[in-house]
Amino acid sequence: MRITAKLALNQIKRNRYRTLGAISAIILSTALTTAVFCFITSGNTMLVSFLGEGYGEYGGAYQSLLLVPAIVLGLLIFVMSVTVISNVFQSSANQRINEFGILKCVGGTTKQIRETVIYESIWLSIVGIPLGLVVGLGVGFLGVQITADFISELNDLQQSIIMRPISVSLSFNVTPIAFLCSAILSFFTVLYSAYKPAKKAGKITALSCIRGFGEVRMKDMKIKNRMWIRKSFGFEGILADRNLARNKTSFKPTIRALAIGILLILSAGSLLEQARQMQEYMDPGTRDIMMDYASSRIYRMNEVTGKEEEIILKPIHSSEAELVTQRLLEYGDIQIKGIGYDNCTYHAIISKDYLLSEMIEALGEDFGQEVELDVELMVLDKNNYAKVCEAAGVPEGSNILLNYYKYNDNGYMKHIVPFSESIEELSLQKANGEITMFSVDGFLPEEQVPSYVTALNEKPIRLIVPEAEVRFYDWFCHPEDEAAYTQHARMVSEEFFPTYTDDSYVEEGFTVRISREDTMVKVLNIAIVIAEIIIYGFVALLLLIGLVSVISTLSNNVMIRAREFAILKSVGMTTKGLKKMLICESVICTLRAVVWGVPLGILIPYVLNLAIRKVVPIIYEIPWLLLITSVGIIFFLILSVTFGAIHKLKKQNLIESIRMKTD
Amino acid sequence: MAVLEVHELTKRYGEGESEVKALDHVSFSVEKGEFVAIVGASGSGKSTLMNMIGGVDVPTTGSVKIEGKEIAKMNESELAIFRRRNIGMIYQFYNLIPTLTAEENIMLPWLLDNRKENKEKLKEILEMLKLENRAKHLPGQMSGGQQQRVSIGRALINDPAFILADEPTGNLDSKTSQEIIDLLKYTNQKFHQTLLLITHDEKIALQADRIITIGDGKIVSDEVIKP
Repeated sequence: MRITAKLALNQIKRNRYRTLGAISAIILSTALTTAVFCFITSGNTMLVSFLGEGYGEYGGAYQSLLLVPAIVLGLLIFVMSVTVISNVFQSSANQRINEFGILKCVGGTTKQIRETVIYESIWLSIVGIPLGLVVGLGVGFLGVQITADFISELNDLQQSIIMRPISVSLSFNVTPIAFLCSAILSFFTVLYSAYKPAKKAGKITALSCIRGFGEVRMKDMKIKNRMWIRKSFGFEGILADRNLARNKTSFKPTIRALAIGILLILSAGSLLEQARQMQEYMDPGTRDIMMDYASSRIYRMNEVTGKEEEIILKPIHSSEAELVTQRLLEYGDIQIKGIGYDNCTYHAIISKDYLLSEMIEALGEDFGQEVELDVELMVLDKNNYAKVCEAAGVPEGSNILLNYYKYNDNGYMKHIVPFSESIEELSLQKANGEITMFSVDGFLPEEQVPSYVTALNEKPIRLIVPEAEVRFYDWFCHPEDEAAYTQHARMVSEEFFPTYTDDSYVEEGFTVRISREDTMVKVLNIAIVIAEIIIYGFVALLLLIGLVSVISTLSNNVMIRAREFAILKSVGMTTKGLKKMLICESVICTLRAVVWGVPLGILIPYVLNLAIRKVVPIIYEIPWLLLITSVGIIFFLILSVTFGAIHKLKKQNLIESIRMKTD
Repeated sequence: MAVLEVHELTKRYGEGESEVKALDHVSFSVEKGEFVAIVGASGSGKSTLMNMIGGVDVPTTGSVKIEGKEIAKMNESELAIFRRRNIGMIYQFYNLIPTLTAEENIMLPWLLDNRKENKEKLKEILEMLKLENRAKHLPGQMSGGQQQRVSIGRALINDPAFILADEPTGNLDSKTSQEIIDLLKYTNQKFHQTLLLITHDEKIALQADRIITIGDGKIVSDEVIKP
């Protein structure tokens, strides 16, 4: 065996704690990489069996769905692993300065010094990577199994949404190539982590060995006397601050690992919180059984006007919808709320005089005396239409303008009264230029609008008319026996609309579905739970890697400073004073991690929210509880690791500690 | 023939007012087989001189030639290999690799050269150093005197042009110190090896063929006591 390899092996045997730390970090890093590969290969198998080779028409999009998160997670693993493993090698190299000096004195070359550090990484990889692969397979298997359970639940829900029996199943699958890739990537990560400390070690001069032990060298360190530290922690605080400044290099990766930890916890927590808010926003609040009719549409350019027009292929007339309503009511003691709407045919040109100031502000654009607004033409079932007319104080047969408008004002949902009640008629225009005049007979303020009439994204003008041909029609019902009613509704649907059992409905120009109103919310909820499991599982494992670094650096730092502590004690520092100094070091360490981690942990989800809030009214809120908890955990962690190491030192004799060499 | 030629060697640390001249235009030469003691008080510059000769520190001005080769002109890698093959260094604190056994520490220059071990040579050295029974021991399992003998073995293993010993007895009791000096004298005579010994102990210095006294970075005297 080459002497450089042997020296590396001896170093590994000599420092069992650090070796254990390094191997743990390599195992965790390899395990995470392997788990990500397991998800990619299993996900790929699922998509291939569902969509076919190449993922069909939207192959690129599906590939991105797998690859983008994999690359992001891979990069995070790489950064965290390199930070941690590199720190372990650096710490090991620091301890071997004397050995490197001796080697140089007896004729060791820079290349040989580098080689011995690299060999250390190879020896550790030989143990760590195979173990990591096994652990990764276990983690991947567990993760895939949990996700698979949720996906099978999604299958049932998806079927009611897309009108197609689907059987997407995720099963654990890992190919030898993926396994090999994971091993190679992990080995590369370890080698890369060792490269910088190896390069640094090669630069050590023989003089650093000869100049003796216990010599304190502080390179270009500016001496600072921070008043707040002196006031809070006294002289012990100043000592702690100076020590951190002196050992900047060894503390840096620890602080970086802690900062990444805070960043990940805050980002993951905030993003999942936004997903939860989105789920709440989409939740209709009711759990009605809904039968809905939707006509397909086509787009075309109108040759006369040059405007793009949407052609509804199979519109449904309110009178036909009313027949369906009556047939549904035959089920028994139930209430049906029927609503039909067409939100793609008309727009209205309306004078600015009819718009209230809040509406002008909401429209935001610079417009002249008139503005073109989208229109939603609505019809209700006979019974509910009568109720609405009564509420608006107009006779049946009237057109009623809903006098409220809600819109997403950059993350905030705003509810306003848009129109002056002096509007008497509306001129509705189609893309082909055809104009229909509608009289406005009554107005309905927001508080009087039935909840089933509200929608997520509403048009500025919503007009309830007695009858019309519409693109969509929904029948809501809240029966006691959901299964029996669903069966009845299915029968009615088959009676009125041709019997198609799959998505060939679409080819006929329309679809009819029967589902629970909250199906979409359920789907979203499952998606969020899957994301939570994957993200938090990933973050937890990544944090474990960081923890290895923290434990390794802090305990090693205390051991290295045994001589310094002994000297302080010999000149009269009490154990209480020593503890005070270490608490102060922990506070400063935590603060430094907080200074980097917290702003980034707030900034990243905030920037993402800037894009999200343009679509849905969701505002980023600082997760204070998560922030305080994560900072508290980190402080406690640093403190307990330091005190654990101090406890070990208690067994050492004071004089022995003072006489000991720095290695 | 001069094995070592030191010419106008100067080493300055720091700049301006804080400048310290550790060595100030030091010149001398050493013939093959000579046993030279370099003496001086603490801070006189003797260790700096040894570092310059050993090629582990770079002079500010001047030159060091070993067997006619100027070491300052070598690059780092060349210098490391040159040091490995031509200079044997012995330190006050032994500077052994704690994880290697006594025989591995002795063979270190060979191992770094990836050379096949010469068992006969190793046996000869171990016997001479009276370390046969300690060959498989780690430095931590040996006394200070034994460790210093290991470091002498390491210095001798490659038959270097000369041996540089920096306070080799500074960490040892008087009896062990004399044993080490006797051993160095023996190797000096047996292998006709040049020996440069740095010490502040006059009694030890008097056992050399020549004494160079250094004070404030300059040669104060250069006396041949055993022609």
